[in-house]
Amino acid sequence: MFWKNILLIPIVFVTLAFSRNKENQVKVDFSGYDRDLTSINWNGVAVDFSTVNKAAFDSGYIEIQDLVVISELSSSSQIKITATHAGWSTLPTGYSGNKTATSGDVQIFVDNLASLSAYSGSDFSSTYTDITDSGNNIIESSGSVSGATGDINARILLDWADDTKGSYNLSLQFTVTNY
Amino acid sequence: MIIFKQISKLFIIMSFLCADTDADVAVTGTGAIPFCASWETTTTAPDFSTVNMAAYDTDELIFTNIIAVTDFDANYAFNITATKGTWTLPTGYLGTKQANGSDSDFLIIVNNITAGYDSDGLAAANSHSAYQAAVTGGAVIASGGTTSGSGSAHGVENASFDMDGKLLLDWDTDIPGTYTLAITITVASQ
Repeated sequence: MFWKNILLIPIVFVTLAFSRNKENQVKVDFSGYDRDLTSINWNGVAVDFSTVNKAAFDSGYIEIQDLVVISELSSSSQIKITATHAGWSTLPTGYSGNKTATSGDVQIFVDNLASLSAYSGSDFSSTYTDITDSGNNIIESSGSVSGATGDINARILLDWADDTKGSYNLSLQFTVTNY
Repeated sequence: MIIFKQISKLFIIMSFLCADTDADVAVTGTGAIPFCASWETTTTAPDFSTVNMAAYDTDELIFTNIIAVTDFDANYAFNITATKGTWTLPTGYLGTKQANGSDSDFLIIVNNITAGYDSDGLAAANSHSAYQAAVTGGAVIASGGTTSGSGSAHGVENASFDMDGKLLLDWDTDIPGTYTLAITITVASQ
């Protein structure tokens, strides 16, 4: 008990001393991580499969220029854009081609990129390239950007023998994320 | 319980702090692909002026490749139909050829077929792998592909075939003069 009191005395003394010195001050410390901020203005167009014709089958695809147009992208940090094949939810009865409920027959090509580039190591700016249901990184920035633009184009592959007449429904997802 | 609530709030706050990004873009494709068929053809019109004694003696003259379909594609099961037109016949003609085309003096055959699919590709139909009389009402001469009801629908690609014609002749009744006849082929979805 005696030793406890002996130790308590200097602690109380020091605390009181500091309290007296700062009794008229208020200190607020701001700290934290500056979060990634990304603003993107982009729009996609719907694909109408009823426009498929002989010429499309002969070409092996329908091509949708400017499927998604990025009219303004600004970010406080490096970003990437991912294209994900969300599958063919509707196919004709008896369909047996490459299109499936999860993937198949969609290719992406990016162009008119300003302050952006095709994702490093990918071919998305040089040729139409397949995308999958697991997602493909197609575009990236080298760092923070302001007012970046670009176009995303698509080809839906067609096969004379397999892509029979009937109803089709396809979903694609485009996502922007920070590194 | 209170501790868990506080932790949840903390995670929510943190998630807001980690990033702030505009919405994703979803693109959909919808619609019905129509029946499409494409072919490249060459035609060789039967020249009745080539009829000669040998043809009369054999009672017929064959015209090969009157229609050659060199590249045929279809995205579903299909029928190819041949329809005969009406005859132009010499004045005073009394033979079996009928001006309204109701005769059987012009026959057609489908041969040199490339199926354009491993199974159920293009094939002669209604016995047109042998000569059959062309008819004005139209007859399916070739078909292929499979329908939805088969469980595995498909069309054909890079199929091909030739259609030859045979003109029946008779010394007695097929008199000199002008003869004309048209054959038309069409393709339609099954």
